[in-house]
Amino acid sequence: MINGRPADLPEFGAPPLTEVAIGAQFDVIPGFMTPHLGLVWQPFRDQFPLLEEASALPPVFETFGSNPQFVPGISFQLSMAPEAPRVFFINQARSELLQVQRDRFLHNWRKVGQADNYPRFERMLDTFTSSFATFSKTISAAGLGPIIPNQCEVTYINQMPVPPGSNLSDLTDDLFGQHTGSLALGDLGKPEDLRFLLRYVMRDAEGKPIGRLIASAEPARRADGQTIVQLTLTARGRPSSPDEKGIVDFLKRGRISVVKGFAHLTGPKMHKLWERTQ
Amino acid sequence: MSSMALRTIDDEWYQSVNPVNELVRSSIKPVVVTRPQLSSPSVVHRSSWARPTVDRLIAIAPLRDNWDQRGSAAVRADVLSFAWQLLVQIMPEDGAAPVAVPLGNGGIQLEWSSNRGDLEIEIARPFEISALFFQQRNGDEVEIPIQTETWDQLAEVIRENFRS
Amino acid sequence: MPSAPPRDANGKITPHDHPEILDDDYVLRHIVPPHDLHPDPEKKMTRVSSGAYSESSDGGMSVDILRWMAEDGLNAEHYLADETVGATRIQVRSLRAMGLKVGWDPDGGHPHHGAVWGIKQTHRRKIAKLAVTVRKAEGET
Repeated sequence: MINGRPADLPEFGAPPLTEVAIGAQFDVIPGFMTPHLGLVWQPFRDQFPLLEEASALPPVFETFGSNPQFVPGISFQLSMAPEAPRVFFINQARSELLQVQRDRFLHNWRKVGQADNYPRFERMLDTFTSSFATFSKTISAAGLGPIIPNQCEVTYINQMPVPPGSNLSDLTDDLFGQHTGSLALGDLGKPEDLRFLLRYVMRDAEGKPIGRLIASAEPARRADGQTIVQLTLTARGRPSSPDEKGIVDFLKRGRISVVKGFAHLTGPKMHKLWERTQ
Repeated sequence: MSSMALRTIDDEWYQSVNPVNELVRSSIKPVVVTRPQLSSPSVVHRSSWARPTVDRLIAIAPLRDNWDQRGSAAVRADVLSFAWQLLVQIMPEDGAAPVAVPLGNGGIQLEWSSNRGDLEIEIARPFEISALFFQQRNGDEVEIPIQTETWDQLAEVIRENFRS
Repeated sequence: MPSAPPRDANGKITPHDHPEILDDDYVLRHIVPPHDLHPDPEKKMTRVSSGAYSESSDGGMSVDILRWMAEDGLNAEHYLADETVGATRIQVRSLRAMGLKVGWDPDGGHPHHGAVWGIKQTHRRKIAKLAVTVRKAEGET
């Protein structure tokens, strides 16, 4: 166990979490090719014996300039082939995985069965750091590297189902009513549904921007047909230093922002349902 | 020669350059997210520099190791993505599109040229940039280093010297 | 045969000023179109970009040592890959005056291959201004 949970952090006994991911993006490892993924898997195959393959994710950066970080009209995504894919190393229960590509290493937990409980950030961080250390050692032994992290990310995905007999509008009220209560129009009433995307700048001790907390909510339908509101909070930004310590520092800081953001954005009725204890 | 695919999305509905969960795509239960159908706005604002810049970045993206037979490294995809993001955040709508030149270490140099001078922004890797402005003063060229810890000065130099 | 260049523990040539590459000598830089070129519509010209004078990730900017080639009966354009590739020459004295090192790198492909080490962004523009065209690259005006 690394450090314990911050004492003043909001805590929930039954949060509506369905997935948590923590990880790091780094400079593309020169010379890293598909066969190296097999080498990387070897030390993990007992704990994560299952494999899946997916196309590599493009790089992503939180940056800060005069203009906002988007421009309407054109979105730019560049992919080049051939390139080593992204591979999932998955545990037998399919509830935890490592994601590896030539510029990413992530650890995910996901809720598979109803009884699955979130293992808590501290344990996920333990798994991530030990796995990342193993990954780094394998890369180095293969004569590759160095690994230079440039972004880190903590993501919490929450799914809130519409209760039987209720509707999206009411659920949205329960979730966000303290912020959205004034959105009702005199002649049309409350909105049928709501989606939002909020971005907050994270800053270091000197006030320099280092990343963002991004909170998004939108209505959706699960594969089982259940209508839900999905609330996703992501803290993404630069590690305090380009090494494992810098990654861990940001992940801890990002987690605090995510949890505090979750507690602030959601309403007291739902906090009761989620067994808020702090 | 490796092939290259590019996807450019002209999207009238607001879309963030960095959608949430870019790093995370492993939910086991796919979620259908309903998005409202909207009419396209009648006025679509496009910056003049974006398309030619995309074309220039595409042109150098496929360059592999030793592309020049001088030992240069392959142009790095993460550098190209970062360069695009930098430009999005510093270019005025009527800014002149830069020339993108590959460097020997896999980075790139963005270059602008006008009668007032030349600007060169070197991107060696994400977040590692340096910039020089070569200003014409009374027939002489003066080299002015541009601060890159924040991007405000870069935006100002472009705004003042390199508009279409 | 020139004196052997210095090498590190792994056998890799390290940056050095080779004593048999004289200050009065010239080195040749290959200019590879279109990517080394900067089209300038306002000035109605296409010139060589300063980016053409950058070091590779392995270290050093690749050049040909012209006097050694001439002494071996080879003309300046001998190692240019094809007709589209251009070339500029720069005097070694000018490079060393900037604090750069000019040495011999026979591992780089042929016995007349050299390298220039220490190039930063500020040097590239200066090198570009000092460079004299030996042959224009395709598209260069």
